[in-house]
Amino acid sequence: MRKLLSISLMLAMVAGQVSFSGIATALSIPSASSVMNDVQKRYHINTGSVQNFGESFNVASTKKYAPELSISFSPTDPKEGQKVTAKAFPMFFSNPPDQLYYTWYLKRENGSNDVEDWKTEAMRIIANDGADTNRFLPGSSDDDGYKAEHGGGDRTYVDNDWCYIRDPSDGNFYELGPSNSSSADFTCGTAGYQASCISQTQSVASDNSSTYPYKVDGSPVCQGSAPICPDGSLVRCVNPTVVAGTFSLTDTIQRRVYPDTVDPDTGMSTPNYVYDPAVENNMTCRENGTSSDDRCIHLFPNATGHTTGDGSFGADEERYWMTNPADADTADNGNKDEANIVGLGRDTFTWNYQNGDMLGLVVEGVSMVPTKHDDSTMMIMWAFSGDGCRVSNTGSYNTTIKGYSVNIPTTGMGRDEFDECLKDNLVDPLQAGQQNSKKIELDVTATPDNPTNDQTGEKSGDTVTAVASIMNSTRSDAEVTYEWTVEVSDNANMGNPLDITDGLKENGLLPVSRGNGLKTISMPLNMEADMLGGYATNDPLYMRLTAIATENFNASGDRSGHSDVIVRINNTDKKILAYVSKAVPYGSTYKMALADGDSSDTDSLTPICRDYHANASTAEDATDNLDRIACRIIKNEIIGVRVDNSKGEYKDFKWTIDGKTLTCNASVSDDMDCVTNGNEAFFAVVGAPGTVINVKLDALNVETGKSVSLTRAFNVVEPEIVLESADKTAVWPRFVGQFSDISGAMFDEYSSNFFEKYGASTIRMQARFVPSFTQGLSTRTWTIDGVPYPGETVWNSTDGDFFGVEHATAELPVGTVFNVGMTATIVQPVEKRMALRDIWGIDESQSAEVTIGKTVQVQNVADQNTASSGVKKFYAALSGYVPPMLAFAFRIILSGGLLLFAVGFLFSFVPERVSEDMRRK
Amino acid sequence: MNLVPLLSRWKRFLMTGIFVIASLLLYGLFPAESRLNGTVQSLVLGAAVFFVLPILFVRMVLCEPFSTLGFRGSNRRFGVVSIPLVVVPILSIWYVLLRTYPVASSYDLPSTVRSSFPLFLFYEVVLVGAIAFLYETFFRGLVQILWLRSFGLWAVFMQLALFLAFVVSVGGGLSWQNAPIFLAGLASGFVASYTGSIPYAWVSAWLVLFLSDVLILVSR
Repeated sequence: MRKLLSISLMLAMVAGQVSFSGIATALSIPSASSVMNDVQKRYHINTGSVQNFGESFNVASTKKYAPELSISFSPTDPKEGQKVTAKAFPMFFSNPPDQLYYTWYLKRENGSNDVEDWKTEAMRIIANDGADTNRFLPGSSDDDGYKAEHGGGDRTYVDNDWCYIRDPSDGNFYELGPSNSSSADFTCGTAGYQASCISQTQSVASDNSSTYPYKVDGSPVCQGSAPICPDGSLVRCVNPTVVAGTFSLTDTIQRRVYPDTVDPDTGMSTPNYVYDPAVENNMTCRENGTSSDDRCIHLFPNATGHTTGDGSFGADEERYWMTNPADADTADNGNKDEANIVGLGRDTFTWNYQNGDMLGLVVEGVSMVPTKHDDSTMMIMWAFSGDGCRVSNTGSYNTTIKGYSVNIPTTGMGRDEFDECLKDNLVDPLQAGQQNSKKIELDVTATPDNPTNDQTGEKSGDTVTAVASIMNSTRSDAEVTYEWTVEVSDNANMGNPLDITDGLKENGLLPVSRGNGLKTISMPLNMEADMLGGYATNDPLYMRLTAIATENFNASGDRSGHSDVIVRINNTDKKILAYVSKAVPYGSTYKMALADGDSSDTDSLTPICRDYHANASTAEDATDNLDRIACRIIKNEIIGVRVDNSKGEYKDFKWTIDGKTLTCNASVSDDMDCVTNGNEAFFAVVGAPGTVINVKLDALNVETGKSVSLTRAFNVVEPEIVLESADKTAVWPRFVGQFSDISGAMFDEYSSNFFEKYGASTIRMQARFVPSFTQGLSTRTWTIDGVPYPGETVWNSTDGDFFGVEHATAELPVGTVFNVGMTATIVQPVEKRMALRDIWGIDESQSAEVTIGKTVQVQNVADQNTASSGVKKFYAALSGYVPPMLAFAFRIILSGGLLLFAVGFLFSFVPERVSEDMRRK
Repeated sequence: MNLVPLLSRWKRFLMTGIFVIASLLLYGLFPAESRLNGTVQSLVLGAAVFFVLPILFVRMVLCEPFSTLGFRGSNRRFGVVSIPLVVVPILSIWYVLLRTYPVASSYDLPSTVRSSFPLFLFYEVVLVGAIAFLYETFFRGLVQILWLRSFGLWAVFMQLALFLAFVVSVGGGLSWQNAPIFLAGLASGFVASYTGSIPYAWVSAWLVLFLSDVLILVSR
């Protein structure tokens, strides 16, 4: 009957298909993939994006933010014995920072190798905070215990604590606990039987007959105390020797398997049971580690025989941690002593640094990563000061959560393993500050911008100063080594540079190029041609000053940085020459020309401030050399400045004076060089004495097309007279002493106001005008002892003509003083004053005469040669003094003798009076 | 009138007088050597004029012994008594002058002498003593004892007048600075007149000068 019904249904289905085939496409059997494709099409879901999301979702569990930690040190470069403060910056904890547990550990260079000792040393410093233990009383009368909850000080009311550690290599989170494969103990009544889940399968034979054998399908889990199989399969204690694949349960209670086992000796058969019928429903189980205390640990240091953070802090621990037994907060930081030991909120650590100290920190708190447990817990984790810990001793267990078996990776790491890991998380305070930068940021600057090099050997070149500045130095300048190199080239890109550092040092232009604290170098640009090599004739010249700065820390390495600056140098032997000028008539007014001869013949002109003495040994020579740098001129003078361009090397001249344009045109002068060529100009000196005038010339080199700049400084001074001896063998300046310069060389110093001579020597004094060209503008009057002296003499010498006096003196006593004076009136010629008025607008009242004077004393001194020292000096003094005394005594003797003789002689003619008695006789 | 007998009669007197005046003129007009210290020159010249020349005059011109200058003992008994008898009244005059006139402010005693007792002793004993000896030799010995001895007691005042004229003309005029030396001259003149001995006169002059300085110091 049943067969007949099924055949009928099949026929109907075939008929139906045939009947529909003529009207529509035949439906395919329903499948998930087809359904999904339809969904994608309907909602425009891109397969790639979904795949990408899915791929990311697959690994999302290893991408979560685990707690991290950074530490900063202050100072970043501690010295031996200096206080150093380490500040911790924990991240990705859900607790506030003041509720985290900071366990610091300090490793001394020659100290213990035990991490627990390191922790003890550091936390002892925190808890004791420098208190004097000698003042502590024995015992413990304070209430300073602290119960440390797992995960931080704010987890007082949380029951479950799940501690985790993240493996930095694979990103997986491992729960702390035993590494057993099963977390439950199942008890089967018969030995050798084990708890298993068995499920029924379907097996279709070739004849399409089905059988439904059983197989072992996993292990049960323990929920509470009852074993259950996740997919609802049967829980049975199974004989593992019998179950080797699938098996059938044929008897009514479905536990016996066939064939029976037959003993070959006895021939007895023993039935085989898949599961033990005696304990079929009496299997019990128990889950391991159901208390969070068995899973979580603290990493606090412990006193011997005590546990830190247990809420009990007795005398032993007070003594061990060197805290005050009578003070619940020895460190006075708001924490109880035991709370300080656990490091509650102690995010800073201060200690006296010693060479080789290394510091570490591990912070315990609640992370932002949720656990898989069916509660409100987040993972309790640690953040390390280094790269964290590699997880070891891993395992996993399954637990049923919300009806599903959840596999949780575990690790059996304990305190010992963590302590080993802490050794790899030490930080060197010395290198903490340089973690962000291994390179010194250096900057080099140089002044002035456009200096001039003097190749002539006159040493009047500009001085270049280069300064190196470090932006990120952690050391003082004295601890930084600077090394300078100087190179020159003919182009701004410094192609084919020539290193002249050694040449500069050999010529004394650069004292040192390497040294500690050598952040500044200065060198005068008096580089002669042989130093510049092939670049001697280049103008302009480019100089690159390179500085390399190095900070040394220890044998492990150093920091360095380098920078340079390129300076454009005027390398020319051209100089601005200065001349006095004259006013030549031009109609009713005057125009300027360079003085001393025909202005068109410049070779005959003598520039001012041109004398140079290579080895200046006198003040006058030194002053002349100084004139070349700052030429002394006087107010109301008109100075002509000129640069030799006889070979047409330059063009496009531009003169400036103190930054303002100095124009020379036909209203000023008729000189071709002024009006047409442009290499000549005139300026009136209007500044007060003490003013410095800077004249600058910019021009273009015709051949190279490069510009050149020349400068000349002028110093406005008051004119003055120096009276000096014209014949130093007759009149000489008085020796006043000696002075020494910084090198220790001794120099004689002579008076400029007092002179000496012997007896009847003729006084020959001459006047030297400063500046020298004012001599020609002067009208002079000489006096001797206040009386005008009419006879002025002119002496001709190689240095020029000098006005002076020659006064013969009689033999006068030693000590006789002659006052020789001269008064001079200095005034510009009338025509020049008119030129000042007409060209520069300087009123003639402002260019009036200036009167200067000078008086010196010449004294007669004794003509005696005195010995310098010793007995000879005594006799010399005696011989020098005796003649006057002898002469005096001689005069007395003569006078007295004459007196006696005169009286005696006079009255020798008078007879003696004879008495009356004698007469009578 | 025949001058020869007159000159002959007064030969010794005239010779001595001319010598005294010439000596004083010699001292006053003698040119100073600019290269030498003035004080040294005055000491040397004074020694020559006030000591050496009188001795040479007496010995070489007058051909008389030193005793005629007064270099001898007292020719009166108890000559030493005359010293205090003269010094005390003279010092009394000085004391009255000190109390009456602003002598102390005008009298210059070297500061080192005022501040150091050893230097004070050296000053009084050596310097004052030496200067006093020169003046006693010339004015009391040569002038009073030798030249003016025939005038008796008037010789005291005459030599004092001469001494006064000399000091005023050469010593810079009259001043309280010169008062003690005048008083010393007066006292020693009396002593020399009584004893005819220069040593006694010298002691009295020195005492007057020394005690005058002491009174000055005490009065300040």
